[in-house]
Amino acid sequence: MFPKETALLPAIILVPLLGALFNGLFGKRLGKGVVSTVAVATPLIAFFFAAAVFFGLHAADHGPLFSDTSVLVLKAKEGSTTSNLARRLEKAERSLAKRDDLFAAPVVEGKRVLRLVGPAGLADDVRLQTVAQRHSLEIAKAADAAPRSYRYNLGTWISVGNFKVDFEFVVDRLSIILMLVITGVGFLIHLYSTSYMGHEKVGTYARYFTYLNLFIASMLVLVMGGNLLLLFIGWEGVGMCSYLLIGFEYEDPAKAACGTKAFVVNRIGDMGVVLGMFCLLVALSQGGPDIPLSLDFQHLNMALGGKAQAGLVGLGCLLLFFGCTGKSAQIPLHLWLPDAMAGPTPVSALIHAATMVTAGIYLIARMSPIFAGAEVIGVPVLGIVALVGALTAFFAGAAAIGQDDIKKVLAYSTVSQLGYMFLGVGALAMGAAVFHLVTHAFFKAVLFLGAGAVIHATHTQSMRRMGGLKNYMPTTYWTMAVGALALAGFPLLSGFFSKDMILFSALMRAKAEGAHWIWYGLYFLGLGTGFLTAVYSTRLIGMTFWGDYRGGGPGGRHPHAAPSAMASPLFVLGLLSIFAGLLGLPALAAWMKGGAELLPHYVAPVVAQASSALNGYPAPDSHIFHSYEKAGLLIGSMAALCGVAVGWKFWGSKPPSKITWESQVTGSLAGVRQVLANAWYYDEWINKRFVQPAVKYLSGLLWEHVDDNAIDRGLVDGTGRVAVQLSLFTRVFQTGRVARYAAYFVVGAVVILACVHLYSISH
Amino acid sequence: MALPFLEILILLPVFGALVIGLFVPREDEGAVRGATLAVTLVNFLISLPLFFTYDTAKGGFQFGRPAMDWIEPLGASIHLGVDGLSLLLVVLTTFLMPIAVLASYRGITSKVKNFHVALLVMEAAMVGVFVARDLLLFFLFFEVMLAPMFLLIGVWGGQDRIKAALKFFIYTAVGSLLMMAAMAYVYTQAGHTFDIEKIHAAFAENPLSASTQFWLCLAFVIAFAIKVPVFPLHTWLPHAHVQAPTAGSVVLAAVMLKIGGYGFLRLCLPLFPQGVTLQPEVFLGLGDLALPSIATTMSWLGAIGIVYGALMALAQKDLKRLIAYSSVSHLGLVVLAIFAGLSGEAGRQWTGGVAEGALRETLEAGHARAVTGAIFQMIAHGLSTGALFFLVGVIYDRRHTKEIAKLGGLATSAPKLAVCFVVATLASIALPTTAGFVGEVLILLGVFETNKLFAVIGVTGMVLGATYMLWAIQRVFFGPAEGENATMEDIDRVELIGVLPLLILGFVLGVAPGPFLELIEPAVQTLIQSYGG
Repeated sequence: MFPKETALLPAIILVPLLGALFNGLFGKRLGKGVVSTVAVATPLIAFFFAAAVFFGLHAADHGPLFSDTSVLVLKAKEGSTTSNLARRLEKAERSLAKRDDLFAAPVVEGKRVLRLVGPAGLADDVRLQTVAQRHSLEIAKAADAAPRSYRYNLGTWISVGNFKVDFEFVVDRLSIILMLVITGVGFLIHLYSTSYMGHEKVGTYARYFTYLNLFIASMLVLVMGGNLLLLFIGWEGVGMCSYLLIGFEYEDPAKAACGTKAFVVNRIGDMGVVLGMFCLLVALSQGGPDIPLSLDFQHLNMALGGKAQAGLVGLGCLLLFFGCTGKSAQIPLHLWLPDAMAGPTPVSALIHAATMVTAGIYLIARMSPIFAGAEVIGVPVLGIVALVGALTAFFAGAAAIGQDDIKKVLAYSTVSQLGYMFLGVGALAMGAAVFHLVTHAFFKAVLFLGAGAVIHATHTQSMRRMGGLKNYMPTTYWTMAVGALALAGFPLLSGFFSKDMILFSALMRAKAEGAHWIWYGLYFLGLGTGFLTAVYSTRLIGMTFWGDYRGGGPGGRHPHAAPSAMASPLFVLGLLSIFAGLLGLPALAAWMKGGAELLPHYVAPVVAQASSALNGYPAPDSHIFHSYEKAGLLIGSMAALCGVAVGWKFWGSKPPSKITWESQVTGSLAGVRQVLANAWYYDEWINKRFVQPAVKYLSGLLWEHVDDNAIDRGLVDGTGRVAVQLSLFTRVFQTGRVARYAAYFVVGAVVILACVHLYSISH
Repeated sequence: MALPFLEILILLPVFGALVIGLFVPREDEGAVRGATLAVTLVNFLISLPLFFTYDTAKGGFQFGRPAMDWIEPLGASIHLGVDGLSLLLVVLTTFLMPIAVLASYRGITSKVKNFHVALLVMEAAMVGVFVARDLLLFFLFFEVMLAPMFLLIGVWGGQDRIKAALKFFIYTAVGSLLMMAAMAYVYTQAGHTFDIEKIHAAFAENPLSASTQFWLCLAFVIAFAIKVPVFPLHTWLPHAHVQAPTAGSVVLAAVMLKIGGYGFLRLCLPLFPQGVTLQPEVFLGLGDLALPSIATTMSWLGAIGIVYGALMALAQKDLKRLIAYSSVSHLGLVVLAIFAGLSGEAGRQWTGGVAEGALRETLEAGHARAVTGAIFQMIAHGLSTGALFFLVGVIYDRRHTKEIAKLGGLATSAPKLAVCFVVATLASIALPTTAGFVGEVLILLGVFETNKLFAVIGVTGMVLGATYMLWAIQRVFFGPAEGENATMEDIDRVELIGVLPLLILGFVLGVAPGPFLELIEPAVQTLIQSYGG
């Protein structure tokens, strides 16, 4: 049981890590050619390794089954004796023990059942034997059906008492998808960067690629870590790389400040992750002293998942989700992501759109068996996740309409799309959320990279100074247009399918028995966001590419088309934005037949899913299911098309000139525009006018009045002053005159004697 | 038992100080520096076998020899040894001294010989504190240590050096006085011995009354709390750091402050477990007042210190003072870790021997983790803060200012220095894979297991620490470089050799903490056994 793919796991992380080390230590001396070769090669190699692992998993899933168990069980079905049964159970358990799948829910369930019926099966009770027999058969079947995963343990990291954490990497269906996205999109963005950063000095160039490779390595640790603490290495590691890359042009104090802000806001969320982790650990320890305090995902999901959990587990999940709002920029911690646009544009594409910011979705999907049952004071945690996601999606989507900075539009759009993913996760549609994560990685990357090409060409980020670029940079125009339409959910493009799947799951949640009316609200919020998305997508393309070029100024050069190193990633990602939707299209699976699965279904066995039987969902083949599906698709398309039409009306039909641009919105709309441009004033009021001044004031106040004045000058120096004053006072008596001393002696003696006398008569 | 390692570790620096003091000419500064570096390096090499050959399976004190009479009429003996509590601190001390020598090769230009002699004497005393198994010997080293540090600050310090040195000295001396008084009483109660194990055995046989334990413990706790320093007894520290030369700051932050934490663990908890947990109103005759026990008070002071120190760091205009306050915050966490498991009613039941099964198991597990983390964190803090003070010294030697407002854009003029500072900062704010992270996770988890509120307060240090450190980096290293900042020389090779071991070791401990934790954990278990209960 040591497939060769397993050995690839550490290599996948090591390759970009070594690339970062190499470029960091020697890059400056070796020149740009070597730096870019190493930097581009490492994610590509990692991608090929990841692909090998993917096909390995695929082959294992469709290769010989664990039929030893099932055959054995089937053979001995009749006339089983107690010892026979015992042996069979034992064998089944051994066989299961070999399976190291991460979240194969049936296996997890099987192991639990096996533990329960094990002793019972041995009992000399026919009825129990039958039960045990049936279970062992089910388990065997489940073990066969469950998808495979790979594990690689590098050894112990921390071990104190029964708390033990290993350097263990695990790859299953969920992580392999993210690994392919990280290394694949990562490679394209590295390639693009060689041109985008080409004009930098060699030192800066090497530094850039060092950070970028380090990011890839950290992100891979995040998705491959087999336990929560290892994930946290990646989690904070990507945060650090993000900090370094946002403030990459550190000579500009404003950009440096944006980096600091991103890190600090993320750390606020990380506080939640740490406390959430502790809650789960303590919940584990309440299970008894013999349960190891392991943060291994499989262990956690098995011990705490699969059942309704309030108390510490619920609280822990809520705290973990708070951490996700930091990393994935959701309300209330979303405020750092728009500022993160201070980093170079390829960084925004890779870190702040395609990969790092989706870590929160990954975390919840990874721990979905626990999240599915978690409750806090009677409210399901996933309900809170969905609510936060939908609200963030809506408010950020609206804010995107108000932005004039092309990167800010994309930043708010990303916040909004991440909100969609959380809505999907909250609706227990982990597969759909991951599907949207993948398509979003493609179309948002193409949009950011296209925006980078535009910025590169026009030397501005303000869309007010763009326009008419369609003629100057056609490749960029067409690829970005495709990306924008995919983002808008234009029918048949990738975003359409994935977004629709999320909205449909929300609708199903609303339809399900016992679901709250609030799910209908969330569905309509998502639908409204779909409309807004289409509006700002069209606006983005319109202001940038249509009409006349408004930039340049007197004697200004015309913008140039993107060089090939920048254009080719755009092209690839553009194609993916069109066709990635097919990954979720039933027709494709039917056509490919031989084992291919839809992306959402591919992920499904390793995450908790809303099952129709359990939650009163309409059955997938029922009439009501199909009618809702069709209606959902239709309504979703309508929302997208309406949005595009509105965008076209405002920003497309009559291309605005430089002068009319300012005066385009007037009256009450101007106020709305103002609010949206400032993103609902959240950062302004909460952060800049409240939190920051409050902390500054408090620390200044405490420093000046408490620490410096009261404690140091008052108490400490005061003690010294008292001592000095006291000695000055007693010095008065030290006159050196013997007669005085004799007088003191007499007075003293009288006082002492009087005291002694009084004491003796009182006793 | 081949070599008397511990004796050598103490005597070699003393011997070196004598030789350098008597035979190396005052003018030959290179020889003085070289000889001191050689002595400290050799001492470090000699300390390594301690770490590599300590028998963790056997545990307990090792490398010591049977007690040797020292002041016979007093029952004081020369009794040395290291165990899991002290071993790493000894090695940390010997590891840091060569670095302290390298840190002063530019900054110290006057009375060079005297400076290095003082450094060597200080090393001997610090090692002595950690290896002494006799209370009087411990006290002797504790006091001897003060003198060279007093001189370091007072002679080679900044503008207000005299005031700072005096404050440092008087403050610590107050603590010493209290400790000495308590020691004298312990001596009489333990059957006229200063040997710590004998005292412990005597107290186990004839337990002191809870109130006696309380007062004795209070005296020791105050002495060590000043040393740590615990809020609100901390104000000597920023003064001392700001005025001290770089080597002084590095040693002060990295080793000397740890003596406070070490003292709690070596003396206060095992000798007076009930004194730590007792509510004093019981015998003060203040029936309904519900005064907090020492453990509760110290936990609160530690927790407050975490937040308060961080807020102070945010308000500072002087880079060195900022890092000094970061120490207050970080060591607040260590203090919290040491006392949280014993705080409140639960702690009293535990040391009183009436805690039931589940409660006791929770307390023991949590306390063990937190204390293990605390010792680990002391080492981690020594490395990261030592590096930060070193690097501030590098800046000061070039720019002759530590004022944040006058610095800026140094990443442009001194990129290597900037990289080192950022890495040291990451270690300081406990990024995963640095030693600080392992320490913080263990501490916070252990504290969370025993008291959730304290852990929640402690966790805020994560955010505040990142805020003040990254903000400082932003102001000092980022932005445009103007004036002298634009032409500042980068860190040179000698300084790089000095600071790199600190940075690298920070990551080594963070990635592979195993051997270190294996060393600490059994000692912590032994410590917990000694609470009785």
